[in-house]
Amino acid sequence: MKVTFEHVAAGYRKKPVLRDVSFTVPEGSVTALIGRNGAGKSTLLRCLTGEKTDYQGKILLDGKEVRSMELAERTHMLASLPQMLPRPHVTVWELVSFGRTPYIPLTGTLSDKDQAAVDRAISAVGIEAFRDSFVDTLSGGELKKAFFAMTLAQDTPVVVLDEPTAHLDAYNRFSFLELITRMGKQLGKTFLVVMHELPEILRYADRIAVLQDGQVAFEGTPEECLETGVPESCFQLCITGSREHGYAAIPNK
Amino acid sequence: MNKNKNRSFWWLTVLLLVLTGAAAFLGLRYGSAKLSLSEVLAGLLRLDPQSVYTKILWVVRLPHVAACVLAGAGLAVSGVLLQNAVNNPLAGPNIIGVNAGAGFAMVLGLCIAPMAYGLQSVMAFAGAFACTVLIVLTANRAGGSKVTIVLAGVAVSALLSAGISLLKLLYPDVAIIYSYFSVGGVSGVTFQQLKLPAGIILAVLAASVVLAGRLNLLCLGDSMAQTLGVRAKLVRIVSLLLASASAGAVVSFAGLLGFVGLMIPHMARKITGSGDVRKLIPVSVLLGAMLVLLADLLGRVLFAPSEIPAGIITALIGAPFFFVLLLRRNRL
Repeated sequence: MKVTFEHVAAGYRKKPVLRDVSFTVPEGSVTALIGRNGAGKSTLLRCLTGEKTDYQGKILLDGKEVRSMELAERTHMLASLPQMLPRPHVTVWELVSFGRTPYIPLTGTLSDKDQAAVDRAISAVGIEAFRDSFVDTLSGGELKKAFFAMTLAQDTPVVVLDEPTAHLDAYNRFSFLELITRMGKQLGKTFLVVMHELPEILRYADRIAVLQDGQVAFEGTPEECLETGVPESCFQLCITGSREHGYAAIPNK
Repeated sequence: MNKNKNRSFWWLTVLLLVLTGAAAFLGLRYGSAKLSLSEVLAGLLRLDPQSVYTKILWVVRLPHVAACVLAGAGLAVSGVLLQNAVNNPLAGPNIIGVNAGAGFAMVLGLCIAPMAYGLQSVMAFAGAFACTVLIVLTANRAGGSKVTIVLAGVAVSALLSAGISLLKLLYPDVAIIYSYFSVGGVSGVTFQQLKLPAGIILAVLAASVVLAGRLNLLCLGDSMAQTLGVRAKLVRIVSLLLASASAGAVVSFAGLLGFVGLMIPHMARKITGSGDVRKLIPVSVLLGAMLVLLADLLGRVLFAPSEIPAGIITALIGAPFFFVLLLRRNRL
């Protein structure tokens, strides 16, 4: 399922944040949304997830405007992991099971199928070891993984992740990016990911969209991003390396 | 693995049910007059309707026990709903103005019609519920977040507490009755008084069980709950109104029975090892009923034939528990 932004403009109390944002997230891809702090990345995600509805332009999920969708319909199409995560006093298994809420009737309980989906999401993220731990006792990285498992349990074709690799150590960061790349290719899931680590984005993302001054400064593949000199012009960074062996970023002074 | 956990949860519920039944039986047997097992059974079955023990059971102890069960269950479910709705483990019915609203309305009722005892109960419930509605409406105008609810609760409660103080100054006679009301207890309660509160508490319990799966998601915050298909603000408001109705119903016959709504959800979390509202509600209801039954029993036997209101016993247990809770806040 593809996601399309058409001339999206939004702001807060007459202060414009997004001015004219247009780009497409292709089906089954991992698309990185990047930009300097305050560029409007989180605002764009809030518009997409339905949290912010006072925007102009169109945001289409498989051709259908997200604002006009019923809440129940949207929850079957789009899952989202926000930047700031709470620490509820529930176990990891219980937290991940919350991802099945859209499939459970008001008076219903988790079916065997739901429980299997929860177990599958926990295994996919590799958090079986602390499935019975309380969420408010987890480390920052474990917390991110537990919530990511919850979004996977929601089993939607589109997943939106706001800084999912923050608080993860280097090994887990790479494992996580490999996991979502694999899910994109094998299951056809579409990932829109806000990240800051440019070398990792260049290595793992299928496409990159750069937000600058409320507009899309660049949209294309990682190779096109390097060819057009986006890291230098937008982030004052010099990139060395290759996709096979990885990249490194050096400040371009 | 999860099925084993579910099985142990049901065993726990059965165990608590048996223990609550045992506490209720002790409540029927002991008091200023100790009844034997055969007297209790004969009295319950009304084998000799004119006997003293039949009268003790049906006029005094059965209403007492029923009131304790209802008070404990009503306050416990209110506590679970509240702590979950505002995501604050230190929340109790007072934060949504139940105590201040019920207290003010009850004192006002005493000032207007001092002899109308039934009116005071109705006023207490109506005051508690109206106060919560006022807090929810105020907070909703200011965004409807958890913080605005708590702040609106503080402001409205302060206003009504000032109102109570003013009425007590203007009508000194009501101060003594208010002091009994503020301690909380079930002395002198009759079946007639319990009918309406029982209906309200049972209705709240049924609604809470139905909504429990959705209530769970409030702990994730409004935006995440929304992405999972739950209208968080609406569910929070419904949750607060249910909590208020239940606590208000208890206040109408038992006064301001302290600490039950605060303590019991914590005990339930510890015992179940879970924060799942679907498990917390049945366990809290049974624990709450058991605690109030035992507090009432202790109050009746410790200084028999005098009675200490159950509210004093629950406060004596609750206050130290509250300190421990504050000191161990990070681990709860």
